[in-house]
Amino acid sequence: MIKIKYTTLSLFFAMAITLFFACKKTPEGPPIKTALVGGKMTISQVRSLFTGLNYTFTQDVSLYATVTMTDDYKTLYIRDQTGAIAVEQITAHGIYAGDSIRINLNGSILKLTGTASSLEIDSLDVSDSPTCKVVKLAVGRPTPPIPVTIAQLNQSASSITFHTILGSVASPQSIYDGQLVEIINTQFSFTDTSYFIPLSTTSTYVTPTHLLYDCGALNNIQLSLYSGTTDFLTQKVPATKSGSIVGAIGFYNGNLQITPRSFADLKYTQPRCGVDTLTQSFVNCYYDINFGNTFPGWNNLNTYGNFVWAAPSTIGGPPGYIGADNTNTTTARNVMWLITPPIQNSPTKNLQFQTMVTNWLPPFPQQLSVLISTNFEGTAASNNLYGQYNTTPSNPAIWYDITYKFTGIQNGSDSLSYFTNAGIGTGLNGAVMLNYPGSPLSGYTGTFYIAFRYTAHQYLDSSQVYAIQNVAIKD
Amino acid sequence: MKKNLLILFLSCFLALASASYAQTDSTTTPKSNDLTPASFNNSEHDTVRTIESGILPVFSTASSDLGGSNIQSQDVTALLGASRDVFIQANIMHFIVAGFQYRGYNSVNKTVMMNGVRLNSLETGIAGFSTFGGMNDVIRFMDQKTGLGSSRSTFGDVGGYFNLNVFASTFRKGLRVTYSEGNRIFKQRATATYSSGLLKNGWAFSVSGTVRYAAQGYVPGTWFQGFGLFAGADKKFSDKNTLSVVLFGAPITQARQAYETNEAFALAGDKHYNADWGFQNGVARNAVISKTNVPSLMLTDKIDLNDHSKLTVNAFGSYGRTSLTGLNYYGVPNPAPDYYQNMPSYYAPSSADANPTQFANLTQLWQNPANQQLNWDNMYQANASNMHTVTNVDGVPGATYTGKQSLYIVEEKRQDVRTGGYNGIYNTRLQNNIYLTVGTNGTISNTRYYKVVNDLLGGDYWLDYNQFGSSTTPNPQALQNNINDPNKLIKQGDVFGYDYNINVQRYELWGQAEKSFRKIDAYISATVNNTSFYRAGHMVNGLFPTTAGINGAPENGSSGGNSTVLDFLNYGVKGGITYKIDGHNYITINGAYITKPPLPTNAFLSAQTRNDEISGLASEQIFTGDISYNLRFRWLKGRITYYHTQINHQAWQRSYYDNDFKTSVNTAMTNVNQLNQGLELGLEGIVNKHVSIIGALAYGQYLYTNNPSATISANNAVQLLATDRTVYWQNYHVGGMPEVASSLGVRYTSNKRWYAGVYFNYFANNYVTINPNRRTEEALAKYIITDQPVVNQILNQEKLPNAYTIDFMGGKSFRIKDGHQVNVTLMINNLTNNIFKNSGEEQLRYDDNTINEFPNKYKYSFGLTFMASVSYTFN
Repeated sequence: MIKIKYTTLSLFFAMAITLFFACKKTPEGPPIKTALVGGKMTISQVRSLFTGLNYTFTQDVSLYATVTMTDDYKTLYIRDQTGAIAVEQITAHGIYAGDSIRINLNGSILKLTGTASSLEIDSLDVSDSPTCKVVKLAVGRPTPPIPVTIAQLNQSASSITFHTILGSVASPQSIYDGQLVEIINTQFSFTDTSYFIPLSTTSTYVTPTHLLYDCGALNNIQLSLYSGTTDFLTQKVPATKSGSIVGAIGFYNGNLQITPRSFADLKYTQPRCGVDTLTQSFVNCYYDINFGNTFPGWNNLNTYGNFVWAAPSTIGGPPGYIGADNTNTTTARNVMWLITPPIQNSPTKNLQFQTMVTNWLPPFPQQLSVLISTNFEGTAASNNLYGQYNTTPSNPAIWYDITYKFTGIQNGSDSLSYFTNAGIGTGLNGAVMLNYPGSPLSGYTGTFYIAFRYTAHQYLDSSQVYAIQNVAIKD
Repeated sequence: MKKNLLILFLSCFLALASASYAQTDSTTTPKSNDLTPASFNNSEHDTVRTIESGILPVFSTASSDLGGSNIQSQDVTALLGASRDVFIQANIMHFIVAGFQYRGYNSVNKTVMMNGVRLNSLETGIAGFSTFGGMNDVIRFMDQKTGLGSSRSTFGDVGGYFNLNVFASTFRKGLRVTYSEGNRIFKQRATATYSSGLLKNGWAFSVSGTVRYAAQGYVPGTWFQGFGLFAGADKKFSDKNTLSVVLFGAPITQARQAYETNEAFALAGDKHYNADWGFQNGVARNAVISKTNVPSLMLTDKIDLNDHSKLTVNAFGSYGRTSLTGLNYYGVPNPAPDYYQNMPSYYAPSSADANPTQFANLTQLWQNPANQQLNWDNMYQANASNMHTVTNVDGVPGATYTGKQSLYIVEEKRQDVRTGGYNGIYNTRLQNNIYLTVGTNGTISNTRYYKVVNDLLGGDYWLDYNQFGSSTTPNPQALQNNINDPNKLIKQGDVFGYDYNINVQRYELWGQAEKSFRKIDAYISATVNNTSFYRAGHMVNGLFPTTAGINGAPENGSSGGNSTVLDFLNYGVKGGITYKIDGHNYITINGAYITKPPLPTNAFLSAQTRNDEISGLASEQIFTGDISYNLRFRWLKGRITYYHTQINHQAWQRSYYDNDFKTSVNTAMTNVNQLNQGLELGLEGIVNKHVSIIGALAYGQYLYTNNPSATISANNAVQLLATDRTVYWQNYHVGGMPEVASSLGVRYTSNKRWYAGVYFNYFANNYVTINPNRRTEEALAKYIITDQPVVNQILNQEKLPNAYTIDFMGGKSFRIKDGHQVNVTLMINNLTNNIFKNSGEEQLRYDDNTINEFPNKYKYSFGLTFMASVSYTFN
């Protein structure tokens, strides 16, 4: 008879299993701080600590951020939900873009990088333990640049002046300061065909700067390369193209600048661009204005003589338009070019403007021409109209005369003292502007410039004064 | 009834197996004992004849045999555990492939003996397989106990003991010749054994020889060459006195395998990628070669004093050498292809040393298999072109030598072993039916640790400099490994680097009393032993330029002379009872409290350079117990056991090479406590006379249970890097083995002398061994709790994926004529070729800024392996 002590066996099982499975334990690990004594701050809060003098953190404070860019040397750019800021390491050590980090700010210094320049966190210790103040929480985090236009950047800029015991300190402000951005719809000046870093220099530790413009050249920002970059060596400025640029935004001497991470951040693959719509009344054209600032993107040049298009007070008329005058010239001839910003053409793009002539002098020569160019590079020059220039341009643009499409351009013979539409039709002041049938700009593709050229000869031509206003180029 | 029993058996198995799958997170440990039915009466021990039980001796199935950098890393105990116990059988046959260790005990907790003589090394605690590897025919007879239990030959240890009985007179007369073919560490094995039996003149002789060989082992770059020789003679002077002499040795040379990172395995596209070898002139050469040859001589006299008393005395001695080669280099990059700076990840975009060009280059280089291995030719070329002049050669002012200074060499770390001792055991049955055993033994071990130049790789000499010593101290002598022989030019075979002895003595007195009652068997044992050891430095290192005792130099801080003698008096008591419920049901309870001395290998801060011992060194304390329920039916047999072993005050030491410190850094801990506990189940159900079902389950949990103190030192620095640093190890798994192992098989035994069985095995809860430095306050000093996942990456212990294998075992015997028999056996492990990680370790070096810079390293199990044997026996 086989006997088995089921009760005993069951009791044994119960006891053994209970004993064993009752004790499931988890490692406690070493004690670890739950938080730094100073708590945590955001980048925005850190920025607010600056009141004109360097601020040294003397308490353990956490700052959580993601590294958006490094300059492969000591500078980091970090961002959080509240903003961005540059960080200067004591020595570079293994921190890279995409790293999610917690910084213990103790020992770091909040300061300006220079006069009227960006705010930064300086002297950050990232060396090996135990002095290291950076904890890398994750790597490979996405750090997409923030799309922005140059106009938005410029509009964001302001400045706060702190009055300290050491004097007044200007601290430029922008929500984009220290931020990794992608500036869209930009291009370099057509004339900026140089190398990013002059080939003549043997050192990469130079700070060449180049201006970047938006499509209408209405706004610009400075491009700055970080010291020591080798990525831009032997690279030329892509002046023939438009596109976008990725980089960190900062202030230097009060001006915004963008510092790209590498040459790959310059994505200039599209044809040069222009503004889609241009309207300029010249109502702000006053005496002694800064032409470039008041009319960004416009070029005011001459190819002969000393005169250029000028404000009304210069030419003796009321404000609100821009004019060209040959009076009192000391040169035999004056050829003045008022050139629009680049325009993005389209099949229905039209040009409208108004003209007025004063100092009517027979035989009332047509001194104002309208020209169009698709390869203007910043120096007006064309068909060698008079066989000579102040200086011969090395790379003259080709201009096509479309004056014939604007039969309404005054020539002084009507002795009108008010502006009239330059297009077909002869409406009086206040009359509806009429377009040339179809588009006066048809036949020209891509980006183009319109030039209003005033030509006067002291002896052969009369010296009538030509003025224009209400220029509009749009669909 | 049979059906009910089988249902019960399967239910139990499945219940526990289910629990093992359900418990997905960590923790627990093992320990204890096994009371096989044979131990229920105290008349005999579990003497196993493996051939009779149909169990093949399993040697060399464990892939771990190849790994590790320690010279004596190979453990024999798991290989010897043939037993009638169902659980132990499964352990031997099916669990080894996964690196399973019985109750999580490491080898130092198992006593291995031969003819009553303890073979465990006094320095390492381990009895190396290499001591008698391959001598299957003569070591198949043994007394053994797993876990606690009574023994008439030793006090034993918590993991039990094996006592190989190799008396020539006990071997059956006859010749046995065996040939085996397989695809494991070795591929061929041939063994011949002849035993004379007891001759009329009272003599008995037995001779056995074996050869094992693999030109190319299972793992690329590995090979194996093993010999074994056993010679035994007994002289029976009278019925009461037999003198026995045994000489045995097993020289083994084998090429090793390295642990690797996931990245290396992935780049090489081989789970058995091995960076230790490369081609030299088109011929594969492995840099890590281990050699072992420690022959032993043993003299035993068995004297029956009277009808109820006997005395056994032994005298024994061993003399031999173990060695391990490896690459060394001077002022040049580490040539190992898997060195972390040679891996693409070191330059990956997210790494601290990101370098896209290097990342791309290394990624490309790794695509070429030739670049995945050592480039011996490059090393030879580098040495050949390095003409250099040494001034003040051998310390002689003005003496110069110009020659090719080797930038790369193969060095050979040696341990020259000398061991001798005695053993005596007195057994008697007292009038009150108490069986009394008293034993005493003593062992002296002197082992010389040193290294020599194995190969200058085309160079003319090697300079015996501590190449990084001068960077840590203004001491001008710091560069010298031996200030008594400065600027020494080292030629092939010359000693350099370090040279010292570890001298150990151990004496023991132990006793045991056993008594059998009608319902209860009981025993109690006790031991008291004394162990003392010291280091004797033969070189005076420039960083520690004093010799103890000379000019008043103290032991600590000196590299020459003798260290302080460390002396430990230890004791142990154990006892157990077996309650015989009836003839088929037994309950056994064992318990023990044992203290053990720290191992000399763990006792010194940096034995290669100085005499200083670890502070806080103390004897281990082991509290252990188990309770078993045993079944012995015709149709069902087996047991279930709960075991619980607390080991306190252990010493722990590991070293690694640290680029930051430019030398080996040693982390030593004292007061390391661990708890091994768990359940064991082994059941065999006999369905009918042909079919049986065998199930085994080990569900253990091996945990550290306290937070010990660590001392960290660098070989080339006088100042300690850290002292009394608390390591928060509590509740971490000891790791390095699966805590859960199970097997379920069916076996068919034919009347026509053949058998076959298939076994499904499952392994779980295998954790990597952990780095203590990552579990310190200092490691987390800059972190706060929310710094995730980095804090968890530092603290969490990786658990390797669970795995399964399917094994087949079969065999047939042919009786040719009387006395002539042919046996054919076949064992196939891992039929489905399921290759899995069976071992992993955290690297001791780590970067707390980039924890993945030094990722965990692993070894994979073997895939499908087989061993087929045919043996011819003539009696």
